[in-house]
Amino acid sequence: MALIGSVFSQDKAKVNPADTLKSKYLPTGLRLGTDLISIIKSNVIPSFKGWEVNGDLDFYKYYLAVDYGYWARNYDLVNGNYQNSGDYFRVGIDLNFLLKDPDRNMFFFGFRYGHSSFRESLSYTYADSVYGSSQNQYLITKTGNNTGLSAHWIELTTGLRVKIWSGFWMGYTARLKFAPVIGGGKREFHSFDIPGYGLAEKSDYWGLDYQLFWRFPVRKIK
Amino acid sequence: MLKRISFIFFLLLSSSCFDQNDCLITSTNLVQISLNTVTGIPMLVTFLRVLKGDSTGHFPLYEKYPLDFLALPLNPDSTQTTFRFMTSDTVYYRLTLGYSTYSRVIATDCGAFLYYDNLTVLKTNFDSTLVISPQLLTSVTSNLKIFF
Repeated sequence: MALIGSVFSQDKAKVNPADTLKSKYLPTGLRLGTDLISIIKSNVIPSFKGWEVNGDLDFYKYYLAVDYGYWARNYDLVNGNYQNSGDYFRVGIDLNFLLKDPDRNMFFFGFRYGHSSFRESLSYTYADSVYGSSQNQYLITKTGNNTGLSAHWIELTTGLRVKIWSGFWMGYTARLKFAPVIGGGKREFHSFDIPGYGLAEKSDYWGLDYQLFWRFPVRKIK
Repeated sequence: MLKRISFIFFLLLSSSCFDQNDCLITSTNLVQISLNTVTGIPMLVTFLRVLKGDSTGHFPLYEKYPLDFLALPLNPDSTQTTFRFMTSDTVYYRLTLGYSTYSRVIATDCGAFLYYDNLTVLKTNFDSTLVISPQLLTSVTSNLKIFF
């Protein structure tokens, strides 16, 4: 009986490696935050209105990152006006390189898939000196609306997340956006600016977020 | 590995730091027309009058001296423009060109412009014509060849 009892007690003390691995990949906290740069730009730059919320969830050294935002531009062109507005989201994975940091501070590289739904309008006037009589300039006024458009792109990201106090974190994300593709909707002119991406004609573009986060623990770290 | 990734990332990041397009306006409504013999050799032709459609408006720049090249403006408010070429008081040629237009914002500092594309010959009584480049751009030297 004593022998059998000791065998069972040994089994209880054993830690299954599969369980350890499984537990390592279970999330320990959800971090939710917002982008300060969008808020400052909205209040300082008259042609821009926007906001962005960010979140990430850890799976050991991998973080599932999701961003959702809104941006609208209102540009006074030298010969007219351009406006756009739309929502966007990004989803991707970050890889943390500071695994041994006791505060779980984070330096990461990652990628995102970005998607935007937006609309644009354009009105402008310009003088054509060659059509019409040679003495009189021919004034052309054009208007156009692009509605129900969507765009998607890819991003490479890097950045930091630093614990400031308790659940309060700060950090930045630098992003290299590339390969934008616009589709869908009704297009009356060439798209100029994609919410969440930037100038549509640029095949690569950069962005920077300075973020404030609050981390909600979901599990104690062993 | 991390150093290599960092280097590549910041190299790419620095290459995309300019957030405004260049103010390079390539838009034009001038269709570049070259005059040729049927064998393709440039041919000098003297027009008495080059007229806009059925109006009396004309292009004095291309009249009364021999030339093998013309740059004629398309109507920005239409998708087709007709020209008449008079080689004598009784003989004239007619050329109707079709096209599509689209607006494009170049940059906030230089504004929006109209671009012309899909140039086709809709109707003509010239012997033969050939569209070389269907897009009208300042960099394009020949859009259309006319053969006599």
